Amino acid sequence: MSISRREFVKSVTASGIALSVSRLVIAEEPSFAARETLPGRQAWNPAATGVGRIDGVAKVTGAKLYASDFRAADLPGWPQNTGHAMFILAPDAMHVYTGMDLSRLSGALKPAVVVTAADLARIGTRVPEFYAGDLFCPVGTTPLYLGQPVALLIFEQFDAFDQARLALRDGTFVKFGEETGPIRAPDYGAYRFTRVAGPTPDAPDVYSTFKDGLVSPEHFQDTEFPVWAPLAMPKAQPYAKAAIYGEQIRAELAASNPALLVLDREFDNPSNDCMFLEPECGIAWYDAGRKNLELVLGVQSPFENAEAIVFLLGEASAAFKPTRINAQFAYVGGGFGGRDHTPFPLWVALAGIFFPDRPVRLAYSRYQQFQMGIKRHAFKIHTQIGVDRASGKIVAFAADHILDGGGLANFSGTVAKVGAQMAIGVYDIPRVDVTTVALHSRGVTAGSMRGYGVLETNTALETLVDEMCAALPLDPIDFRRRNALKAGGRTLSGNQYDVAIRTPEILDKLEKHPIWQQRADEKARAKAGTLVGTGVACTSKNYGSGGDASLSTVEIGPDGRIAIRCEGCEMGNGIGTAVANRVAAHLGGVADQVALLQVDGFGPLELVSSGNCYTMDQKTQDAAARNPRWVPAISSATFASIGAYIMTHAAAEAARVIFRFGLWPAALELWGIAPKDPRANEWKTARWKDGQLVMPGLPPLALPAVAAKAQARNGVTGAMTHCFNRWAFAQATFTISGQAWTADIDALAVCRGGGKFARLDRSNVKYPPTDLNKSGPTHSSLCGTLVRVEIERATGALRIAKAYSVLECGQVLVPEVVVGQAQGGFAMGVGFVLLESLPPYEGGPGNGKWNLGQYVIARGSDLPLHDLEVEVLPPIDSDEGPKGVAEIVMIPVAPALLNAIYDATGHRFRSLPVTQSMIKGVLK
Amino acid sequence: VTTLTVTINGRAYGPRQVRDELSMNDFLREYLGMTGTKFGCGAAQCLSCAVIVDNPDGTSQTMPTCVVLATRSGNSHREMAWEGKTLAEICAQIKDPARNGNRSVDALIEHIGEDHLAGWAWAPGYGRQPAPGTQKQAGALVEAWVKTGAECPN
Repeated sequence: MSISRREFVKSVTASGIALSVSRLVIAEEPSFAARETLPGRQAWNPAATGVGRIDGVAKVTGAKLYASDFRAADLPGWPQNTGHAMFILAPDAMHVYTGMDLSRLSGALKPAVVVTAADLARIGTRVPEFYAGDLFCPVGTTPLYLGQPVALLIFEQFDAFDQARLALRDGTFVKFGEETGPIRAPDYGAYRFTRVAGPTPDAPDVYSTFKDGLVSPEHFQDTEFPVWAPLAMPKAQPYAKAAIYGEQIRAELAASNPALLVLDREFDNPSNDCMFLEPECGIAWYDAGRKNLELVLGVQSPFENAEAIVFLLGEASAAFKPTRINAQFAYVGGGFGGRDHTPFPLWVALAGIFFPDRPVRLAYSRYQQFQMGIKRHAFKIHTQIGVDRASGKIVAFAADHILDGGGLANFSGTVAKVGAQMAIGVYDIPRVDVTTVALHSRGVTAGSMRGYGVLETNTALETLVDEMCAALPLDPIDFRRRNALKAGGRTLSGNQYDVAIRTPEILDKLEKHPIWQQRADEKARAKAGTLVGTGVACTSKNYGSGGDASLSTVEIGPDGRIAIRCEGCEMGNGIGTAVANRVAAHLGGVADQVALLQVDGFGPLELVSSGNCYTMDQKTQDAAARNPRWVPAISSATFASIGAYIMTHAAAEAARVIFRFGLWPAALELWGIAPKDPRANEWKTARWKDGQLVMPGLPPLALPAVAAKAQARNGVTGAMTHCFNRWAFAQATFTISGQAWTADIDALAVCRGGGKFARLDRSNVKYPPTDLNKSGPTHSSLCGTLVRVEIERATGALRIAKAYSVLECGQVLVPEVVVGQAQGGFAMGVGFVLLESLPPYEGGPGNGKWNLGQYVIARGSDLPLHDLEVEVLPPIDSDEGPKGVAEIVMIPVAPALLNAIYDATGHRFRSLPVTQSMIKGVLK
Repeated sequence: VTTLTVTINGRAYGPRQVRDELSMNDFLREYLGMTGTKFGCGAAQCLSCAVIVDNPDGTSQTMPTCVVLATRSGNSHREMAWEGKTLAEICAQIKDPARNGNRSVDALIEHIGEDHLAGWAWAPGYGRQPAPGTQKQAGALVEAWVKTGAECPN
């Protein structure tokens, strides 16, 4: 394993710790690489024939590959025995923590080491800014949140650990004193999105975030909430301008105007757990003699988590400060956002540091995963929507969102922001005012979770739209058609989408579907004692965060075997299969090896980075970009539905370089076409078919023959790429084989004839302007859902009889994975509406008593297993690239189901979840 | 401590001494390093830890390893079932921590009256016959029973 990579230069110099980050590869398990290989290499084009996932067989046959599967004895060079650390979490955040009574752990059950806040203070750890807050609650203070860790107990042997956890099971040994009430802390972010469109659709906006900047209100001492009113502060401030326009929109909605139908509604959803199968875990070994810390972790954000550990220990006292950290990453058993920037690895590292020379494992129990794992935000949403009765068009919209962020900031600020930015869904509304604030509370920390604020705000929106349609009245599809944002139209933030807007097609599909066509008949045909209802919803979801990067290496051997390395995290999303298919389109064969989570190994690019790509100004970016090795961000977490669009992009561009400068010249030579022949420039016309390169009027060439020739003539056989996307890809020009090559990448290294990679200097780099940091999302995918429910009048029992989801995601990389995402998203949408609920605070998961008995998620019996139809629209043309799909497929399911429940029962539920007893209650 | 010999996927393991309270999940994962058996909830609810156990009589059954002891060849689910038992047997069983999920008699009030898992009996899903009354009523009855001494019939 390599030691220090240039890309980590910043961390190394700042802390004196060398960091190496890589995917876990087990030397003793040669079969693992074989398992990773796509089955049926000969079966060309899995996108058409479906040869399955690269990781499918290994996963279902129980291969040792998840982070939870590894113990010290499995890891090359590690001591054999694994110690075990036990997390002790505070089930109280209202009283002063006074310490632990560990007297019941005597003799063999006595922990070898107890780590507390005092120990961290003693050795001088630092908490990274993103995770700000005590890692352990100090004795004498009230826990910052329910579930805050108070200690790690470390045991040398599993048996002692196992017996101790039984002895401590009731939790009463964690002692509390005086009642203080909860700790108060500032909010995690408050924003106001106000837009006033110009007088005509073509006119510029009078006011918008994109035009005038993102604004936040001010805080005054001793208020939990920010002050939204414009008058409380000087008019000159940017915030006051937004607020004045905003209040005008609200006044318009409040005015008595018979031409306008205004609905004013509240909607709320509880917090949810991501409920991935594998509770968070990790294993650490600190070799104190060599000052080397080894870690095996499973997260969605390997790069960021590793850097956080470097920061944590960067100024620790000598005996506790490693000079080298080697973080290895394994597959994760589910993520859904909950493993993106999780603080968990910080404690794994601490367990290792405080138990030197012996490997130690830390894992949440499921109770602890509920108690401490990242949650979905509980939202309280107040919405006012005004529709012109004559035209059926939405003329004004105002909303206020309050998110419960729980104990630590994590991603609360950006979840609030994205939820608000997408709050008007697929609609074009000229006057919009949305305020949002994420508050601190003593609840469990909320952060990233599938839907990222958009699920919550769009469920409120699409149920309100349904209500509006009934009130006007207007047909729900017709209403959506009248109000849908059109090509060139502006979003709530005032920016335009740079993708096709396919709402009309989705609405047509929904309208023509039998579930919708037969809704009245089915209602009329309902069996005695059964209520039937049909609901529809259509939503969009951004993919990408406005500052996303990806790295990949693709190589082809003389035998035509293809190897891909990329940094995406496989969390069940099928990224490995997707990247293999994307490369296959350019290289004519499915990869024989796909290595994921390859965070290091891109050393030849010699990348450096500085600043924050989300907030930097144009001048800073321009100056930094003069260094040809500089990029705005080196690596991204696997998040924000970026897998298909961004994570596979770097690999696709690498494959294009290999084709153009390796395989194509080799093919020309095999065909006997001279470089000056005009046909030599027709490389774009060439197509791969059944593993052969096909050109009109020329004999087809088999991939191995072309690859062997490329190798022999010292052509490009490997390419390493970096890409950056800020609502558009950065572009640069490179000179390859004496020719200028302009592509959507900002760093490139190539290897020739199977040799070493050499970096190529870029020229004419064009980074997306920093002004786009003010933009709302410009990439979004669409999904529409129809649901028909049957409800037993006597019991309130609900059954989903039929459902249909129609989505568009551009070029489909792996059809089975897209359909699988839609099915999983459907199940999660059903759970969100009917089942899943975490109460806040004392009765909630922070008390450590929650498991799947209390927290019920959707099971097979809750779902229309054989009655869910998924349709994926074909791309608009062959140039349309892949679009993100992971989150959008969940979102319309929730409001469609709620609208169906209304259609069946005549009751609008505005608070989730809607349980059987609640349905029964309204049927009496 | 028990000496355990077991055949897994056709291969013999042991004899090996294990603590009597060691779970089968920990035996498989921590002692044998086997990973086909997952750890999901630790409470016999997600069943990602299930294995199929072959009984001496030729029958087989699925067992959630997270709540079954390594040394036990029986089935905790079968022991928890009420089917075919007398009222006295059921009563003794639900009071027995070894067969009720290690609960005190007081904890049964919340378990039967509040726990969503127990609540499935009254909301078993579409097309199934729910248990009589409501979960709340059942909780009240259990509470009355516990507070009057939790006696069992003879």
